[in-house]
Amino acid sequence: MTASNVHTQVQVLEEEFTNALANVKNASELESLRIQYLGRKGCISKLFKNLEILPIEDRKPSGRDINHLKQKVQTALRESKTIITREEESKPFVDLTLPGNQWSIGRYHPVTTVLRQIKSAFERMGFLVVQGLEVETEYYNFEALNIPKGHPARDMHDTLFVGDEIVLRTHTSPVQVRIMESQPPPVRIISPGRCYRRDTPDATHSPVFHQVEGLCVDEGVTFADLKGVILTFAKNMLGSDVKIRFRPSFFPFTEPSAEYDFSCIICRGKGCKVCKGTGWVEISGAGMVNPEVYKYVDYDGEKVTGYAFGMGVERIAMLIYEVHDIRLFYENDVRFLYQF
Amino acid sequence: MKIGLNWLKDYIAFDYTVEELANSLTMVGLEVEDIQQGQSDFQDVVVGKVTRVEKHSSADTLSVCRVDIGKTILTVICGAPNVSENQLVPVAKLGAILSGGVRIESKSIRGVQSEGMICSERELGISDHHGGILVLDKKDYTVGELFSSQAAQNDSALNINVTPNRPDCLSHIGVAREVGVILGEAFSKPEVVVKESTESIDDCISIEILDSVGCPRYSARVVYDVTVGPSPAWLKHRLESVGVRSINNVVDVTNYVLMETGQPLHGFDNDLIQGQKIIVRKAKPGEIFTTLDGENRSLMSEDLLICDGERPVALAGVMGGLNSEVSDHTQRILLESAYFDPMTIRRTAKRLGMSTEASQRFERGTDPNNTINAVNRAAQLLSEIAGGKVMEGVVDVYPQPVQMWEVSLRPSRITKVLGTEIPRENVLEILHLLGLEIRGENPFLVTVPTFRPDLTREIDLIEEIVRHYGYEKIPAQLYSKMTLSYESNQEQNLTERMKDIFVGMGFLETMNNSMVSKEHISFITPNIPPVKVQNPLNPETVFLRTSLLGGLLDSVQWNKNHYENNLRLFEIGRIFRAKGKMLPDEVDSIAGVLTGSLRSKPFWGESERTIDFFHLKGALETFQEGLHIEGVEFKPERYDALKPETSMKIVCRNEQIGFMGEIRSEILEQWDIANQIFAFEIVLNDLNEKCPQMLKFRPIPRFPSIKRDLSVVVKKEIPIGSLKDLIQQVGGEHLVSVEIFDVYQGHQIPSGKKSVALSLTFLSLNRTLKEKEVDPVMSAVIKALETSYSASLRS
Repeated sequence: MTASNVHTQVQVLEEEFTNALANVKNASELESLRIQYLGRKGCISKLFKNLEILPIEDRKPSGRDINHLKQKVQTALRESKTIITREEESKPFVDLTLPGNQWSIGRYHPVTTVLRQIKSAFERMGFLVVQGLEVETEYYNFEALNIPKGHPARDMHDTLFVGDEIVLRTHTSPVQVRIMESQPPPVRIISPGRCYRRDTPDATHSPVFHQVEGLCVDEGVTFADLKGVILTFAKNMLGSDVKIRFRPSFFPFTEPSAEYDFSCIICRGKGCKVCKGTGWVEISGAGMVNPEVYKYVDYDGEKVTGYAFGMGVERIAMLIYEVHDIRLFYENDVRFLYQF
Repeated sequence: MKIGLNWLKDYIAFDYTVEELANSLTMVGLEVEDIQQGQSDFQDVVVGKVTRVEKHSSADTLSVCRVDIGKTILTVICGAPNVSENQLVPVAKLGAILSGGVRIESKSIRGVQSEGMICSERELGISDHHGGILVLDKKDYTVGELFSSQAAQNDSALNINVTPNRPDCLSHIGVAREVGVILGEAFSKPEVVVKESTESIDDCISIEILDSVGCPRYSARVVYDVTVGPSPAWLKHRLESVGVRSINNVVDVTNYVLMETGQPLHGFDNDLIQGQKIIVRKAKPGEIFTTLDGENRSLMSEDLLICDGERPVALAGVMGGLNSEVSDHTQRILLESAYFDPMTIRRTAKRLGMSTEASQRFERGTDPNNTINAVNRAAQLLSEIAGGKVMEGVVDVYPQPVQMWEVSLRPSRITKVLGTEIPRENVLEILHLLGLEIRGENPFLVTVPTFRPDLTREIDLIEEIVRHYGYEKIPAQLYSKMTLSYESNQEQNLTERMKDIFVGMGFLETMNNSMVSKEHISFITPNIPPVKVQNPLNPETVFLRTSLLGGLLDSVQWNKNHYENNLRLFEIGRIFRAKGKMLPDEVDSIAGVLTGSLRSKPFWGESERTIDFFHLKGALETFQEGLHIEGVEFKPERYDALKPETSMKIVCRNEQIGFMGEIRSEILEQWDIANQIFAFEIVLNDLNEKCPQMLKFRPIPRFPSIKRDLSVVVKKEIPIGSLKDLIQQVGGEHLVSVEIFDVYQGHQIPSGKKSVALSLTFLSLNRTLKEKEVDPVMSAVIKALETSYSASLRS
């Protein structure tokens, strides 16, 4: 044996290996090929063993030849393995078009979602959220809000009674009186909650509905501040390009009183069906706290001034989501609830 | 209040379009709800010229007319005696729909085909007049054009929502004053001149007020030799433009003055007034009075009556009586112009459900100092259009005349309230044009006329000023100096967190009516005294809910009726408990229902699983875990609404906070629900205190735990919860959890017994536990189970 014999053997083996590898069909055939060449008793091992019988000077170049072969075989086997494995792995058929195994997710009632947005807007402006009573005395619902018995303004509210001078609150405004009774100024609160009116349900009336009341009383609070807060709220709800409009109106517990409108969120003020072509949608009422109300809660109306505002939550939800019928909010049809 | 545009122009000139005027009025607080455009009243009614009139060959009273309507000539049969050639007339073409919904069809009348109809005033809804066809003035109409009545043609009207504080604006003059302020010009009142005869009213009528609180002023005039008949066209059109039907000249005049001045008038047939006197008194309880509309009204002592010498003749401020109504034969009119106490009129109108043009104004407050002007205006018009003669003098009983009052106004206060300064000249101009007189400088002393009862305080004047100055001119102040607040509403935050947890578990949040039916109460919470609604809208809403469950069942029923049976619903809301005459207890509560299959949508890889009791219990355990509440237990307890076998109370640290279980089928029948419903309700006020205010971190164990499984066979009646409790008692300090991972009965297990597999985890926080430390504990556990529950170890 000489180095050239070995060299020839290596060349033959390499050719044989290349041919064999080309015929390998699966992983097990590949594995036998690997054992045949690289196994402990494989042909490459044999070649290395045969080095012992070579003359000393031939051992180094032959060793290099064999090592070279070994590396080539190893690389080729590794590459083939990757390819074959990949082919084999893709074999079991999985229908990827089948739907996934869903986790269940619930939904918030749209009134909750809108209320959360309203609360967060005002909390950022420093208002504290407080709760009121849904069953109120006529005193808190009317008298202390400067709506005495027999006042025509009581006609604006169709009231449900549950006892002698006890009513289901017709608005969240009684909270104004209760909060001012309970603490000295400054006051800066909002109060969300249910209200009740003796209204026959139709697309725009529900005997139960939600309002949010707002009240801020301190030294130096002005009508300009009220406009600032409502503008900030409007932008928070509907985006920075929204505009507000205040129109004079009448509420016995505020003076001056206003109705406030937002520029129509559907047409952005150009005029559409929702805003009846006016470019404005009516949101609710606001105004400076009437000094008469301060008399009931023992505030000094000369020293402090304040504003109050309200809003109908369903009304805002109807505008945002383009819901056309308020009754949907209380039917709890899952086809409605799942949309929010 | 409807305001006619042309009518308004009688008092103030302006070149606004109707839209511009509507917008301007809205922006000063007179909200225009809608605009009635002056246009054609009827489709398919055109102006025609009668070219030929011939008698119908087989009916004497009918005429066969040829009517030129521009492009074509129609043959029309007409029964009116006043039809003649060359008249301009309104012609309803085939297909036209007239007042009262009458549709014009082609029809043959005694052999002649009629291709339309020549209309009377009544057919066009202009008046009740039906004596003949309406003949049009050739000056105003052109043949062939679409017909519209004079008033509609020339006049648009605004429908103004007048707020309750502005009685003065329930009149054209009141609105004209506002338009004047908008324009910066004064408006003008009509000149009232009454030509009196020599006959004195004092010989004809006397007035006595027995209730001067209810009636502080009563003024009257008598007009005689009146010819009752149709009103002239201008008057009809005026009234028509604001939606008032023409009746006859006398009634029309009183309505006209009402719309013009806001002062309601009433005309009596003076010949029907007995004893030559008018007495104003309170009604007797139970007194019956027949009002103009023919209704018998049963009165109370709070009602005010206008009586003659013998009997009541009008329900003061609300409606006149049938017994003294003006008729076609009336010759002498007694005109009443009074000021009644707003509260008195309001009570009566409200109780009797009679809201009339008169009562609406009296109850808001008319001007007590305008009665004479109004009655004079009516007398003037009656003499002009009804040939009446006005008796000399006004009978006027006004024991305590109402004076104008003064309000002081500090300019600095205007700025303090509004946050911006309004120029002095604007302030003065606005107040002046509103009819207020100003003296002094700082403060201004402002005299308020009696037609503005709403202006009594400084703030009222500030509102008037800013209303006309323009809300849009007040800047929105975006810089705020405020007291910083540290508070937040913890309860509210917790409620929202609860919603998050249930929504996260796949529940839909619902909101149900707080008012429920009698059945809701009696079926679900028969022992809680409910709050009763005294004037409910319907029988479905007579009580305030004492539980949220009824509403949730309503929602289940609704969805079931719409073919959705797989539901997980919850609600957080207020429930109520009556407390006698006091305000009821109000607490917030959370409740939920589960029914149908576990998944809202089926999954192909799994067979459908139906929700059972343990899904309910599991949801509540997850809820409790989500809120970090400790010490929650579920204990058997009977509830009326729940099946006894699954009825449980929810206890937290020995305090009952709620209940859960499967709803009894007898109850579900009431909701027409056949499926199993699992439900719970927890009162939040009880739960809120149980939630930890602040969470504390517990170090994560650094040493491995030891897990031991244990399988025992016990009698099947033994509650596994008790086994678990016992293991926890004897498991020593290192036992950190006991999980039940299998419960089995059947093959290889003796009958009457069950096998329970439990997994116990032992852990020390400061060292690695050794197996041999756990062995004696396991033996003790097994021993205890054997002793207490005769458990045998399953090999």
